[in-house]
Amino acid sequence: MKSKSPVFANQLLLCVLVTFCTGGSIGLAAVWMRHQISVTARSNRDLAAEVARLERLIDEQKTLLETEQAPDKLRGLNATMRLGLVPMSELPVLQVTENVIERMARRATRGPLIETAAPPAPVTFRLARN
Amino acid sequence: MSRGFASNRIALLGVVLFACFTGLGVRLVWLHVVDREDILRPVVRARPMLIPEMARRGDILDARGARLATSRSEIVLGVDPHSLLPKDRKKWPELAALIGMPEEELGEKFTPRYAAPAPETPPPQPVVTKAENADDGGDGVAAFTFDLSPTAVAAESAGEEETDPSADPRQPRPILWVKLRDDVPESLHEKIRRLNIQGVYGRRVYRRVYPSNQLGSHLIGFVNREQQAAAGLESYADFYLRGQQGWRLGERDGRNRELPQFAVREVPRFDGYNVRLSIDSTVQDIVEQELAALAAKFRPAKASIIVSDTDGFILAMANHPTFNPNEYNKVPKEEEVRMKNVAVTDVYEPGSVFKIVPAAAALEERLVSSRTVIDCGVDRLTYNGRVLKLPAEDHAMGRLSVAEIISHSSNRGAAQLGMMLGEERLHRYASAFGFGARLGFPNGEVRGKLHPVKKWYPIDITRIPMGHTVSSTVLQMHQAMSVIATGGVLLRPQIIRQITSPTGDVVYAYDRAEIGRAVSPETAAEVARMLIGVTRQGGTATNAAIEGFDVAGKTGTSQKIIDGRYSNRHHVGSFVGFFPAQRPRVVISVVVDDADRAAAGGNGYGRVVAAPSFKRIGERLIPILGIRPGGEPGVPRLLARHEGGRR
Repeated sequence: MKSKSPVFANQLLLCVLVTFCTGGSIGLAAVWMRHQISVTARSNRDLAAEVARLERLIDEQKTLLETEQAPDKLRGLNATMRLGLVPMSELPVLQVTENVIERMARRATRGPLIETAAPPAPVTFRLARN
Repeated sequence: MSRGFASNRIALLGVVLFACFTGLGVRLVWLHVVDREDILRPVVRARPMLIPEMARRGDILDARGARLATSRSEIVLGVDPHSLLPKDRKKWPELAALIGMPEEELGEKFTPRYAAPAPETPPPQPVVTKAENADDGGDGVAAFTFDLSPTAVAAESAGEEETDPSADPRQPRPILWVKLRDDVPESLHEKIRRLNIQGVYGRRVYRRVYPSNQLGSHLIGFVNREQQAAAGLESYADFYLRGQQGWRLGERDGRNRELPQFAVREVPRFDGYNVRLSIDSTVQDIVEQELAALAAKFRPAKASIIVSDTDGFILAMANHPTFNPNEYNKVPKEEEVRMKNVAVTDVYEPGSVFKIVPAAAALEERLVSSRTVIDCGVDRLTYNGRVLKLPAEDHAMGRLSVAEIISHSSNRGAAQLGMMLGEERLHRYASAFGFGARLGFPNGEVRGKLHPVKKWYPIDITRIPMGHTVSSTVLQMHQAMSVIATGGVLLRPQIIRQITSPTGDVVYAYDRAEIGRAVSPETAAEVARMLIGVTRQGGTATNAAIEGFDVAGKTGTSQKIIDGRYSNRHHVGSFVGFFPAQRPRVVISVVVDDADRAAAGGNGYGRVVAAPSFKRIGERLIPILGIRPGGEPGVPRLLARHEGGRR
């Protein structure tokens, strides 16, 4: 009985120490894990916030671009900067009333030698009344 | 001895350790079980944090993807004067410069102040959305409430000042929020944040922006400052556009920072869908320019122009007067009519444009052909045993073919076509052309007036065929003309092409929608050929003709009813047509209300005030929409003739 007591005490102490170490390790691991979870969560949140921030900035720039491209604004710039841009209004189709073959032949053979010079403008005189 | 002593010491140590652990365990149980509620109560009250996530309202895009309405994130910048630090004082001038506020005013807002005690009467309780912590099992210990309604979120950022809600209202309460500026752009907010002034912070809100200003304003409508869709498509498509707010329920630390690891519930936000319209900004701009020119020249009470394709999709719709949805609140109360889409909310008597209905009906019923000659010189006819007086003509017409009745716009000819049809058939065809009923346009549309036959006066059979005693919206008349352009089918006027998700996926696509067939394709083609005569030599609107293209159209001039009587000095002039006549690409309606004062001759006839606009718009659309002359070549064909003229 006597001889068993120290053994029991040693075993108890050992068990307590092992439990202590194991519990401590698990506790530390849990703390470390929770810390990592916090860090990761915070990092995720920061990344999401950054993405949202960039999206908002992109949106703002897009809106700014659209606003600057508003028709009335462009017309104003055209006038202010004297660009002389005019809206497209020319008809894309030319109505040919004459003989099409003759017209094409004339266009194909048109050149500086064949092209007749424009007739001189008629000169008119106006008599002043006295 | 020594071993026994050692054994005892070890045993003692073991017992002490065991006792310690037992004590620790008991304490833990005490804290976690017995005292749990008392300990948790203040923590649960202080730490929960609800973070609403505002959904971004979807964009309204035109047919080419240009944004007609969009949402911009802005910051409502404010300051908590009680949190300011003396060390940040040197940064105040820089902040004042950034937000464009005089330093004196900034200093005033930065001065800590207290609100006067509130009166004794309890404030009304807000309607709140209750969020309860699931971990508490609903025992009331950790129940807390937040108002998540969009109005509340908007209102939160609308106030100029806010006090500490937890302070005793009977005592002077510290003002913890003073608004500095409510439209700080994101880029500017970045600079303000970099100043790092403690106590200066912002609340993010989405504001609606209309980049193209008044372009398409009547169609698009607007969202008011309370973030409620107030008019137009903003209101009609609000279900798709508004999205759904999200929120996160978590905890915060002592510095009021979110602890994301303790997030217990998260409802993600869903941004609103985008709505892609059939409106083409370029076409819309052309139309609005033309309206502005028309308004400057004729100073009408109002005017509307609609351009659509032959699938029923509206390419442009504009009214005069107009407004800028970015500044809707600057429209004076007495001028709020400017914000109405009068093309669908107001009715008018269409006048001679309506003659396409009896003409098409008589052709469809094989009562006449386009060459049938009718004596338009008679002024009275017997109908159902009654002698009816036929409507007056602008000038003597004589004998005209049906085609000439259309091209010369003979009132008596149209009346006789109506009498040939009879009341029932005329009413049936008018209904089939879309009169007297809503066509399903998104919002604000009225049905117009087409009385049932039993309510007709005997004289109505001679007046309705010329577009009197019947009223329609500009859109209804436009769609009636579209019936001819589409080969006899009445289409639902549509303005939304697609609903797309924020990532661009198509959620729903709208397609051509037929309401019903009004006349056969052959009849429609025949009427189209007759309508070409209107813009040809001898027609009533040669100034609507576009060189190189066959234009089919019809002028209309109706007298306005002033003080219960038809006025000779107030008219609604219109021209509704399409081109190319053989293979129509666009239908254009121009309706000008009361342009008589500035019109040549003092009468705002359709050929004077509306037809030239049709021509100018048509010519500008040709290169933009790539319209080519279709069908038969543009050789003049005899479709109309004058009495005694060439045959």
